[in-house]
Amino acid sequence: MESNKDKIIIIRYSEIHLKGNNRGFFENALVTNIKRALEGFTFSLQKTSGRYLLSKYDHNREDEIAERVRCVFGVYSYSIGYAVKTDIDAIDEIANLLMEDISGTFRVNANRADKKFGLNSMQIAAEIGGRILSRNAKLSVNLHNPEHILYVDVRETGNTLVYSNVIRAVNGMPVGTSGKGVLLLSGGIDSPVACYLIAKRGMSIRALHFHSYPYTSQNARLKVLELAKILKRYTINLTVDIISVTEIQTEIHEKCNEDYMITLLRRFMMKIANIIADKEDCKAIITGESLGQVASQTIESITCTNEIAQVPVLRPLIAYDKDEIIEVAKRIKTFDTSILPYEDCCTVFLPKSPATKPKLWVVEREEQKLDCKGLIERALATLETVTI
Amino acid sequence: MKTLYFDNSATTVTDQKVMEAIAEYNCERYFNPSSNTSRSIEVAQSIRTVKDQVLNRLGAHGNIIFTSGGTESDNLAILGSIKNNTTLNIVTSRVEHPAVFNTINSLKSKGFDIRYVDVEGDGHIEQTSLEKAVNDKTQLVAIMHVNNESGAINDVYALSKAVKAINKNALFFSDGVQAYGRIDCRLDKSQVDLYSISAHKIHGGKGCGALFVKDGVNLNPIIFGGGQQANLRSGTENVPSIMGLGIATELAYSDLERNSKEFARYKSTILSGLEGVDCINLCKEGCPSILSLLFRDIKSEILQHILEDKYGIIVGIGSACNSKNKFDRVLAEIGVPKDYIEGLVRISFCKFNTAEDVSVLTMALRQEVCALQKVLKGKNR
Repeated sequence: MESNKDKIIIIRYSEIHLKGNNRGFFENALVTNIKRALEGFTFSLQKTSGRYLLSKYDHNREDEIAERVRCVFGVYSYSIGYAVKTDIDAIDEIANLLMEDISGTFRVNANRADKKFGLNSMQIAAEIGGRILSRNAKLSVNLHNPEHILYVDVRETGNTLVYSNVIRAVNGMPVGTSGKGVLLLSGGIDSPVACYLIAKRGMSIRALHFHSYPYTSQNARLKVLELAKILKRYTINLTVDIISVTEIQTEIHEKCNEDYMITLLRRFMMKIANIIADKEDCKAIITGESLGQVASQTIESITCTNEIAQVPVLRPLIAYDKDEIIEVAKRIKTFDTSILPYEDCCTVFLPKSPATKPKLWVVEREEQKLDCKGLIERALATLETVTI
Repeated sequence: MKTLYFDNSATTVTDQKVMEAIAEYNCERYFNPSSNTSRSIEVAQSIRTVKDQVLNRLGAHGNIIFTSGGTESDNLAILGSIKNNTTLNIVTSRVEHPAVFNTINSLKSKGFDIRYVDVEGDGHIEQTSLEKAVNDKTQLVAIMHVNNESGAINDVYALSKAVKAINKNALFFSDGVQAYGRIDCRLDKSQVDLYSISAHKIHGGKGCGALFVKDGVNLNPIIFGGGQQANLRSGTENVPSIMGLGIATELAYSDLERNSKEFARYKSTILSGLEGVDCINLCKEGCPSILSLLFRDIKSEILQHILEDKYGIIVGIGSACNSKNKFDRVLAEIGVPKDYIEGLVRISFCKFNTAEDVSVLTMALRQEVCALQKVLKGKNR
């Protein structure tokens, strides 16, 4: 019996359908990403019209595989089911397997691509539905609003797919189809969410983390790498550049107006992000800024940092409230790591009253007091690149 | 870079002789002490010997229950001794180790009346405050012997007697994890009923502790299973580590006087080397092995990183930097001034420290504290 039925995962996409001549580019990216997400597993991935069939995988690790598929951007939904030889008794055997322990209302959705099969869609649904009903007295038919649906998909290949669940995945566009961006990854709640949302629109991510060791802990660094591991489920590939801004901070602290510490520091971060973007062929800088959330995220502060950027700055959270950001952070499972109590570099030397409306002319005057070029060069000399 | 280790209150390097015993009881005498074979009975006898060694050092009559460490011993002492009667109260302090503080706190939600006694500026328990808190409804008093942050030594002899004078039925439990092997812990003249100890604080290796239970004290198990250790702590005994505890106990007490004198010299070197540096010596008459200094305007976590990176020096710090809560519970209770509260550096010695190491530490502390105080001035306020 085992040989007549194979477990499969049916993977569907949605937005790619809308693409025209370049649809193949998106489809190929999706296949590549699914394969990368499943590195370390044995499986077979087959493209059929508008979906992919994953088979020949280790059934003991099915949940793990399904979860990885769910996290691949571009995947709209998936179903776990069986592929059987196109034969009404074989289909019924699976129908029985899937429907025997449930109660309530149901219907059968049948689809027949193989027109040579003796029964049409309506007849398949009626036949299988009838057999289910005759065996399971706890079920009744409701065609309009059923609690359970059994899907029967008779394919041209001589096989039929039978499944009873459709699980929503992350949707979006395959990572790698919208260029690459540098993400400023702090270790807090917001920047991992920004990463998720931009990757969702198909952008590859290169993360950039600034630390202030010894003023911050090595645990802060480990926390960021842990976040990067979680994010990699979505970004497929992830490289983290780690740079020390300790000297920059101590120099600002020593020589500049204390209230401008954060604005000046963030401008340095932007300057460094420009350099990384240029070197790594990144087309954008991504931040987790949310308008007005803190002093450095007022429109005046954003104006001062934005002015530095040489590529577009993408701020997917700009209109999000904190609770909305937290909701996503919890969903993508970065929240628990983000709230670990290790200070990031922004909290060291925090001024008592940071400028909420910094003036560009003041910022530029303060920067005159610093050897900006030398500081950036020495910061870049601390660069450590970690491939997750 | 050589490691100069001054965080011996956190843990200690395992003594070579302990390692040899651990290896012997893992590789040669690995028999289950609960079996009936001659070899197993010999192992059971070895455990018995360690029990006697520990009892002998404590100078007390009672039982020793071996556990996985200080935390389990503390949990067993508290949860295993209290009566499920919420009309009775438990008396403790807010400067206890988390293994005691949080275990007792967990009883609050079950309706137990928890009473906290006041502490003095160096972390000592105020005896008058304790006497006020204890009454005829007190079922348990939990007061640590040596404070793990300040090094303050509580006179558990006097405190336990004071408690019993008010209520002879109240049990007196003392967490002796920082005291055992570092100061005289003889309990014979005291009224202490329960006393917890840990092996890894005295070069005895991790994963082993013990609870002293005075004769006549009724204890209930908190771990159930095969009924080992008179049903009070199920689970096959960690024989290798128990043997390690026995050896560590003997080594600690044979060197106690010499070490204490040496540590006093170390303290004096450091304090004179830091003359002129803005800092508070948290407890002047505390445990010989602990010197807790509060540096003004310093975040001790930063100093800790610099000392490790530049000099290979490891020191302990308060828990302030490891928590969102800016203020360390113990230091807040002691009433440390705001400018100093994030600047706790706990230097704790062991027999393997040398005068040369202490000189390096002193020089490094002076240099780095002064540099950091310049950078961070006013940042803690």
